Amino acid sequence: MKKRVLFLSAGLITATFMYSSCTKDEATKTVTPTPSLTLYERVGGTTMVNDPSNSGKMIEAGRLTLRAVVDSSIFVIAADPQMAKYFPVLFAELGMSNTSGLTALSKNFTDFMCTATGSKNTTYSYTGKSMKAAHDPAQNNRMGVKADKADFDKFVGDIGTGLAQNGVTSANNKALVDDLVALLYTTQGDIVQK
Amino acid sequence: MKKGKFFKLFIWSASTISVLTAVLVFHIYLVTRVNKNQDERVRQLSRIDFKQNIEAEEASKIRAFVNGLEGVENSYFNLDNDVLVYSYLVGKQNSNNVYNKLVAFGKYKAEKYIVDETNSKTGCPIGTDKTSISYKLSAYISNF
Repeated sequence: MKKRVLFLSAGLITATFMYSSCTKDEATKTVTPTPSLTLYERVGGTTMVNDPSNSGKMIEAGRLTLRAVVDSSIFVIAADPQMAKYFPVLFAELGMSNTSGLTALSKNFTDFMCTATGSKNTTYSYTGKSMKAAHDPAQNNRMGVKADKADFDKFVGDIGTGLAQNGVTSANNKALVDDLVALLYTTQGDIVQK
Repeated sequence: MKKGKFFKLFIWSASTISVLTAVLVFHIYLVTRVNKNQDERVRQLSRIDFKQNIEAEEASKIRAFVNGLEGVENSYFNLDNDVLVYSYLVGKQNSNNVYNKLVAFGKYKAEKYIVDETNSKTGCPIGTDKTSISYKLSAYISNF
């Protein structure tokens, strides 16, 4: 009888010890904060991958993703009559010795997205005017008309279509779509000036 | 004596400015030079507006035809507005040829979109300001 009590007590103490160890571990786990990833990291980050557009060259996966989205979005925007008044530069046919508006817009927009999503790579930095100055016709002669809210919403919608063409939709990655859309809307106050 | 000092000062200033200018030009060249392998300089976008309703199946046919033309890289069809946009390499293809071949292919009622003079002066500023001195200097050096 004594032996049985002793055995039960030992078992109880061991179980209590093990339980408390487990709960301590779990408590520790919940306390440790998980470092939050930037949007740039979530779309590929700094991992170097082959650049499919430039054989033999490497590119950060984050930039490659953003460039693909930008390039798809440019097609959507270019085919959108509501947006045409803002992007005539895309159709300016300049001939062999000039960089076309398409290339310039793709690079600058990709640079802007890299910087805005948290890229630390200085070669990808956006070095253009501030969004406010760039979209103010008084400060930038390239901006002939002020943008209004309806057109800005359409622009964001076109970027959403560009995202979908790259396989990212609200249905399969709502968090990423929502965060990218939220990022675009942070520029609304500077861009919408009408 | 004063003349000598002035002359020395002038030489030093001129030399410093020359060196700094050379460094600046070299820097702009390195930053803006175009990789000839990338075809970056010759990519162009064009648009064709259809004056008839195009269904999804027909749009796929149109895209397949245009994408199959030499020098055409990619295309997108806006079904809501019956608008086709495609990119091509200048030198290997041109927008008049694509338009003529496409219209002949499907007997479509369509117009080639051309940016008018007024609109060409306006545009999204994320694109480069080609009237700026810095752009002209960069373009000159990178094309050198």
